[in-house]
Amino acid sequence: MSRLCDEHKVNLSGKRAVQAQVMTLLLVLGLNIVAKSVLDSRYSGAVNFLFGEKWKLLQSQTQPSEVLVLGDSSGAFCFESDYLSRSKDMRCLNIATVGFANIVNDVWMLNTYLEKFAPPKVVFLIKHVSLWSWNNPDAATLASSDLPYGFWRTFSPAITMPWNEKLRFINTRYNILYSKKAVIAGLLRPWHRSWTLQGLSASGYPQMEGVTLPAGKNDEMGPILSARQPFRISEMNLRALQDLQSICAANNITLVICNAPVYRETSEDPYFPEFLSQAKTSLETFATPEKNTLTIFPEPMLFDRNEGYDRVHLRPDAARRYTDAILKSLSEAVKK
Amino acid sequence: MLFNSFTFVGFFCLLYGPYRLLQSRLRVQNALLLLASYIFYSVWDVRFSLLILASTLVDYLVARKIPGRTDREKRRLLYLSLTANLGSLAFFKYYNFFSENLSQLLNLPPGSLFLNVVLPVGISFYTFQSMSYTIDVFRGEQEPCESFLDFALYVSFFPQLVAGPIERAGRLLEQIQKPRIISTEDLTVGLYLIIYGYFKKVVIADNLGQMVNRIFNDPNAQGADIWCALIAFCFQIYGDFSGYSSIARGLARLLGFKLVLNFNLPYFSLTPSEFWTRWHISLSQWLRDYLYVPLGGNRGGISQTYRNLMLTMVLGGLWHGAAWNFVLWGLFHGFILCLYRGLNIKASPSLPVRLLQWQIMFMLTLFGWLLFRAKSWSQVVYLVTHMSFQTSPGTHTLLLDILFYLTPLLLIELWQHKKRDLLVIPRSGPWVLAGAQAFMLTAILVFGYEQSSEFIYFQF
Repeated sequence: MSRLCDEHKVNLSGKRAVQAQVMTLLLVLGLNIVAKSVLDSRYSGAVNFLFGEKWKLLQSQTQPSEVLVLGDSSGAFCFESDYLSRSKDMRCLNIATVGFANIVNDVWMLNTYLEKFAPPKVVFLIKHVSLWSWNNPDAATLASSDLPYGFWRTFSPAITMPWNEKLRFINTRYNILYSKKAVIAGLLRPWHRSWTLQGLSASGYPQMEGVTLPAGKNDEMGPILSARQPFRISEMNLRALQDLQSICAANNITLVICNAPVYRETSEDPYFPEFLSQAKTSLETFATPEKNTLTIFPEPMLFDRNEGYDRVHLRPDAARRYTDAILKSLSEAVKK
Repeated sequence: MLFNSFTFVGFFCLLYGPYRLLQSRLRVQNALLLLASYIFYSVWDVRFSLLILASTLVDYLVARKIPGRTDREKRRLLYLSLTANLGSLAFFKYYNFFSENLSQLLNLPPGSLFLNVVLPVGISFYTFQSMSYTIDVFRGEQEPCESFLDFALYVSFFPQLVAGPIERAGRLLEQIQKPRIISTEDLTVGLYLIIYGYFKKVVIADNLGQMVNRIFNDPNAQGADIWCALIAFCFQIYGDFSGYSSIARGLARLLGFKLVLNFNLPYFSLTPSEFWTRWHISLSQWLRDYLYVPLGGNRGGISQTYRNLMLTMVLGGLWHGAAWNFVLWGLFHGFILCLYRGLNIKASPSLPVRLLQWQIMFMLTLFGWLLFRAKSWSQVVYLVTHMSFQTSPGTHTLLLDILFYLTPLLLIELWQHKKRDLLVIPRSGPWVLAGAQAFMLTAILVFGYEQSSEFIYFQF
């Protein structure tokens, strides 16, 4: 008898064949809904969650804060807002999100805050030195919040989004199996657990499960350093930064621009000092007293492997050290 | 244009509506398919289309001139076609390989004979397909095709153009020339094959490929990690190539064509000859009918049979690529075919013996894939001498990943094997079919590798 298989005739009536295809779609749709409900009820997974959660936090605020922290995820992790609230008795709100959202999102957040409350005393804008050149905000990141479709047109400053990015927005928001694939894959393959965001503290500091990311995970500096790219602020970031300055100046807020800490090994690249010197020169042009703007840590603090979850995001102990250092620098700068 | 790209999905959707509307107008429908095929191919490089057009013209004209000629004239015409086809294949695919080896042999400066030749995608597939038609006409097994349009479509039919299955005129050309009725079965099986193909490519092959690349690119790879990489590659190449074939057959089915089966659970083979009736079936049959049998097959005694087997397998290996590792791979398969033949080893009826035979054959296949994947002979030696069961801190994760991606495939294939039916899923009713398709689509969404790569066999 031959051991080979055949392709036997498939006898499905037209009705049953249609049933099968409709059932396929319904099952995928059902799984999508299940995935959405399961994932909505828990904080977990990728850093993109920060974007949606920070917006939720901002919209749920009932009291004003004296200090606001804006910026990317390196800023979210390096500024220990809880510690500031506890030790300095200052109400601080850390709403730094992710680098993919760009500075235009920081302007939207500040404007949203100012619609509700009196201006804070200080706004920190903390960014990783590698992220200033990013241009348009990422549609998939914007979709990971509860903000209504098209909010980028109604918020100030309004931005335009190309049609393919709009499709990505819709895909990310409604096709959960795709957009949360990293989280689902992490749940299904627990031996690959990377870091897991458990939630945010009342002041917005990320609460992490004590899992270490693989040490080899690259940061965004890698491609810049290997290609010897010069420091650059993208056009959209530049415009947004100018908007941020104007809003702060108009509301008598001190805007403090800071570089987030940099992984020590990254800083050992021979090209890094040159890149950093370009960054310092470029960022210091924004430090103008008439616009209430200060630049702190143009030369970023360095951190070691055991101090970060990965090459970009600090653990709480190191974040406390950075927060202390930043406050000390700020008071010195104010005294000057 | 890659099957695993949104561009292709858009291309096929745009084509399908008009194609179905032209159901009653065969010639226009064929013209539309031909146009689509040339667009599909030109997306890689417009120059490739000129090459395929040239190959098509030569075989079309040669075959038309064959009937009614003397044997001598027929033979001349056949040689003309073979020279044109094999000549272009030799130039585009093998020129630099041979020139590089010649330079080394003659001690010439490296690169002195090098030409910057771009390898046209799928040239080995369509050249063989086109050539087989002329040979069949020469042998009197196929009538020459009257319509150039039909023949051009036979050579360039886009679902199987760049990575097979390699079709024969007796099958595909006949379907091109007759009106096609697309049944419910065609649609059901077509969709199932497409989804299963994408699942094998973007979930299994592309994810396993990441692990394989990591270890094969690591000059210090050791112990059990090498075993893991080898097993992963074994299923990566299977998922990649059989995935492509499955998508190709599914697309063709939606268009009303039935393409030849190219894979039939190859890793269930017990002997090398069985392996070649299950792996890349269309190529094995081509090599058998147009190379092994004309060389004399097994008709001229033991030594001639062995010579013919070795020659066929070495040329089959070289067909895969212009590199020594493919020659070695072919040699190895030729050697084990001869060995099994010499020792008269056949599939045993006893289950324990069959299990042992399966294990041995699987190990031999693995070794073959090592020769196929390695970049150099020194890498083969390194990997073989550093293979062991000693684990590294990453072995555990690697093994779990391989099991994770392979389990669904193995379960499906065990079921197919048990029922001796490759379409056991669609035959098990709408619920089973819907469940399996939903599972595969979900896996594609969640585990589909984002930067999905080209199909490995495109380079051949």
